[in-house]
Amino acid sequence: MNLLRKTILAGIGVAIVAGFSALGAHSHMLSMSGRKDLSGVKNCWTCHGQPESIDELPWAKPRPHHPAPAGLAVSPDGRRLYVALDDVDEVAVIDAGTRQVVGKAKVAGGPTGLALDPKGTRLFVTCRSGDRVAAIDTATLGEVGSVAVGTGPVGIAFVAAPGGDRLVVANSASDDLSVLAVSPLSNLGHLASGREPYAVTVSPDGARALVVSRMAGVTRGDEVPAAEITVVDPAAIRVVSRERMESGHLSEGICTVPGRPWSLTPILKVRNLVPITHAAQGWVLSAGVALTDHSTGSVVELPLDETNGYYSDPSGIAVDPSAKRAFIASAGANVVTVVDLGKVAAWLATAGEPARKGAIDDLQLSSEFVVARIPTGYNPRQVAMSPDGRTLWVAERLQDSVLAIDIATLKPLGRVALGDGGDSDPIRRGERVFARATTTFQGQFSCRSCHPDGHVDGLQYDFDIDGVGRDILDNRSLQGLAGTEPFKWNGKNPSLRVQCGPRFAKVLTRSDPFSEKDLDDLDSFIFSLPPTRVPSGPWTESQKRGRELFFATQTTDGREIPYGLRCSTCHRPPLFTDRIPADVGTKGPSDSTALFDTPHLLGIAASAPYLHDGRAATLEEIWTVYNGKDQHGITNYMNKIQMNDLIEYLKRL
Amino acid sequence: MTSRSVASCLGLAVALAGSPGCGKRKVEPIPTGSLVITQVPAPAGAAVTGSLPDGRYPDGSRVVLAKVPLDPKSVTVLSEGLLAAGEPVVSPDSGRVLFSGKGRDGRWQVYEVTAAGGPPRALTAVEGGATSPALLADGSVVFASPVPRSKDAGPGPPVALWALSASDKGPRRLTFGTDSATDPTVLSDGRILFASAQPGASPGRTALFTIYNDGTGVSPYACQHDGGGDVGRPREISGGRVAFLSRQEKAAGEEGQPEAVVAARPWRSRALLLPRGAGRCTSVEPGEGGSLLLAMQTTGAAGQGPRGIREVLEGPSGTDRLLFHDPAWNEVEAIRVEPRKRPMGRISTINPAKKTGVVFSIDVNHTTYEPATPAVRIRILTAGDGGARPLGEVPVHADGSFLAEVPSDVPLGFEALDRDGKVVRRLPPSVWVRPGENRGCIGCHEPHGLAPRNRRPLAVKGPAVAVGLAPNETYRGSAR
Repeated sequence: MNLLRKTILAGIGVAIVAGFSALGAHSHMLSMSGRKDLSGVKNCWTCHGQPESIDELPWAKPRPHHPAPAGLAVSPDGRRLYVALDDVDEVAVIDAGTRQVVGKAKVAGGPTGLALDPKGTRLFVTCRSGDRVAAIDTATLGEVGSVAVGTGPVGIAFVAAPGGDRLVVANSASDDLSVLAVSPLSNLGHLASGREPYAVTVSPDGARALVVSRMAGVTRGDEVPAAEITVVDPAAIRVVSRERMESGHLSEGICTVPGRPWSLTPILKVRNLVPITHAAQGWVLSAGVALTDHSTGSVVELPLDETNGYYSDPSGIAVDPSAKRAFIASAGANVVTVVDLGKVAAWLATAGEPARKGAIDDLQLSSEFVVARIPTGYNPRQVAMSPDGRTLWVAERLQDSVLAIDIATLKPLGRVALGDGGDSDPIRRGERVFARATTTFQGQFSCRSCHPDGHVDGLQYDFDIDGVGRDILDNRSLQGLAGTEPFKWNGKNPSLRVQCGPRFAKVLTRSDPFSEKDLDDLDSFIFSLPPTRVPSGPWTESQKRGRELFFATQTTDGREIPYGLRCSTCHRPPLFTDRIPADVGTKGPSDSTALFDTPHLLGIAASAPYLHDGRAATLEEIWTVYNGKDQHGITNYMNKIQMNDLIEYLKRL
Repeated sequence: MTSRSVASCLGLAVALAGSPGCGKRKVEPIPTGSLVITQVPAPAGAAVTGSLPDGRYPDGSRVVLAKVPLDPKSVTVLSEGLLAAGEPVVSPDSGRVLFSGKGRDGRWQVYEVTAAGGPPRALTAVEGGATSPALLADGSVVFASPVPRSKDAGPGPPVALWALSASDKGPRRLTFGTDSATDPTVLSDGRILFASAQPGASPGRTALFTIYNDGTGVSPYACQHDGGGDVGRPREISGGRVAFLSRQEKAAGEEGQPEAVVAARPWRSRALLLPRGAGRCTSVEPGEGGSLLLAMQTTGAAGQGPRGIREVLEGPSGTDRLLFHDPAWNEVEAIRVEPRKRPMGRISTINPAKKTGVVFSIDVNHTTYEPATPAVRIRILTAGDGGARPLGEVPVHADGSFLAEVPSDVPLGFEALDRDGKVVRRLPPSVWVRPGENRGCIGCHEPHGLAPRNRRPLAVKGPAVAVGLAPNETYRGSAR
């Protein structure tokens, strides 16, 4: 009996202690988060723990790979379609007549962009994760050349320049362009581009290469963002002009129009400066196409959306050889949007300057020239036109397939399966949820609209849930997010399920919330995203000195740096965050709190601007402009070289 | 003619797949293509004046189910036991039929017949009556109340839209304008589309508006400045269009002309669905394979045709055939039964703890008014006993923006004032904000169908200027 009594008493005691602990913990969580829904909290470690090892994080573990089409190129005779499969390091060859896969080339490093020489004997492939361009012999499908380029090459175009054949490559992660000689494959020069150059095309006369940037440049305050079309003279290896697409974002395609001095670039028109009081009416984003007249340099942005219908995330674009129609992959809506270029020209001929300037905002205008919406499979991202203009090929990226569309009837001819679609893979399913716009009111936008590749758009938004004009916040990368809970700049969301749950639907998508299954899949996808890739290779001396500064406990003149003001205290390895909100002296007049989440620093160099409201355009500005009182770490003792060293170190994280 | 009662368990109650029927008989689904029809006696008895539904649906009117193959001699009465009924709607899963019904007490309420069977069940018991049901994504019922008065009965209190869900203690009011909101229907995007007077227009001039499922976001949808006349009974139809019935001010009777707008460009696409003079129409609904399902009486060289349900396939090679008609009745409404996608849902943005909302405009000088005289102040109005009365004024910033905190759930109007205090643009009290709603506008009577320009309004950099009711004052509603 005594034993039983002791056991019972011990049990009661444990229950009481546990109860008090639980009550205390719950009270603490409520006071810190302000949320009643704390279902995502498992224990103290949910918000305060560190993973024992990065290797345990989902993004560090092996994941299924899929033959997702990333880039397309049609042979000059129209008989072959080449498809870059970046996730499986292959280029597939499809017989255009039989629509069968007839060959594959192994290309290491994430083959993404494709370009053929005029004879179709050489296929040039950008390798996005390998930072190189490979040359493939189309007869043997063997690799016959390779050259290192900038970081993250995506778009590529072959230019028959007067001084010799050239390749122009868009290096998406180093914000520059590589101009290559073709034979032998070699670097001729680098040119600065807009932010995240993504697609390249060639002017009809072959004299210019046009490169479009996927992201708008970093802005300050209330400045209107703009993406760039960089016009390059490949022969002279110089930039001829930089055309500005106001509030343009997510441009992943560009093409020229035979017989007209135009280039066409799909864009998402962002309205990040307008308080988000609703999603309707293109209030947050709308889809369009930027028409640049290179004879005058004028840019007219035309809507692709309608008053009550939206076709988000326009991506790849192609024009038929007769220049009658443009075909745009509306990736978030799973359609190809068909634009009648004759009708566009007719409208331009009558439109005055105010109408041209306001065209993108006139949601009733698209019906004037959008003549069809052709349904596709999941996430159409790139398109390619056959040389005879009879067939449009559409890369259905998240379905592992290519769709052939008959241009005469605008009906599907058939689909080429490159894989099984990945339906059994929760990461793939989650990426579909992430990329589809149908979960937003009227299909206005997808998660990918603001987080291409799960990364950032570099923009700041004013969500009205905190009050109109209050708490303007910088968009944060989703890459490397696993293990960094809690989320949001105020650190109030203990899990992705909470972050992406009903409150998200209420604040942003203004529609039904994601289903439980969609949330599970979304978790799988987002947590599978690794941090942004950083340069590899030996550490430089500057980076080594920067690492010493980051972990310093004393200033260079020997003063003790208080524990709470050392870089490594709050940004402690391995994720470089302690996951606890901190006051770093950045509370602004419109902010409700001085406490902001401590972001992880993995891949931090790629996610400008910085601080909670994006006020710091560069890493340097965090300390040189916005840390006057040393609240964001003791840094004012550093000289210019030391600050540069610190930045160089951060770029390696 | 033979009719069967729902109480006999031979109608809808046993007609739905997977639903338990009476006894042990196997449940059969309603065949796709069946029709839910409103029939009024022919010839109609003396019209009862006073309320609009009494005039449209005289005693004896009924809602019936006609299963395929359609046979006027074999219908199931869904409104058994009611004096009159009309305005049926069918849920997307075909599991519920709702309609307006007139009970033995002479009051109009919303009734429901479900897969569970039995006689019609009253969903509402609203003082003043309820009509015009529609169904939201979550199954909540939207209805109009009080019962609209007929024109010859003179003006009455404005009809508002309400919502009622199974978990609600009572109906939730959705509209707060000074003019009646009628004929609600739920669009596939989840918004409620309804008809109401066009603010500032002549009496009898109506247009189509939308709200979200909680009454927030009242916005023009179509017919604001084109075509004129009285529009009502909107419905989504094929081709990305919204059809409605229009009636010019001087036309007599309740019949209308079927028209439609294309949702992609609703203010630039209004067009007749049938040649003018083709007939007198009382309902237009989506039919099979993109056709139109019309309740109408045709007219032509041979005189008037029978009043019945017609299927019209538009276009040069279009067809027009009488689908259903019982000579003993006049068919005035019909809905084709087929599974439909559930409308999109939405989580309410209302904060019940608040009694105000926020309104801002990006640029009040963005307008179609000419001359676009610059405004320097905005006077915010509400409706008073003697007409509009001011709640207060807020400054317009250099970029044309303003930000105001305003009382919620009251009619709001706006006057743009120039430097001399002269009114240069005006919206009479006709819109509202719900508690905690933040409402952004692009301009002040700017062209319809615009997305905003991407710029941060100066006004939102500071606090909202509060205007409101006097202390302890409660808005009690008012005539225009």
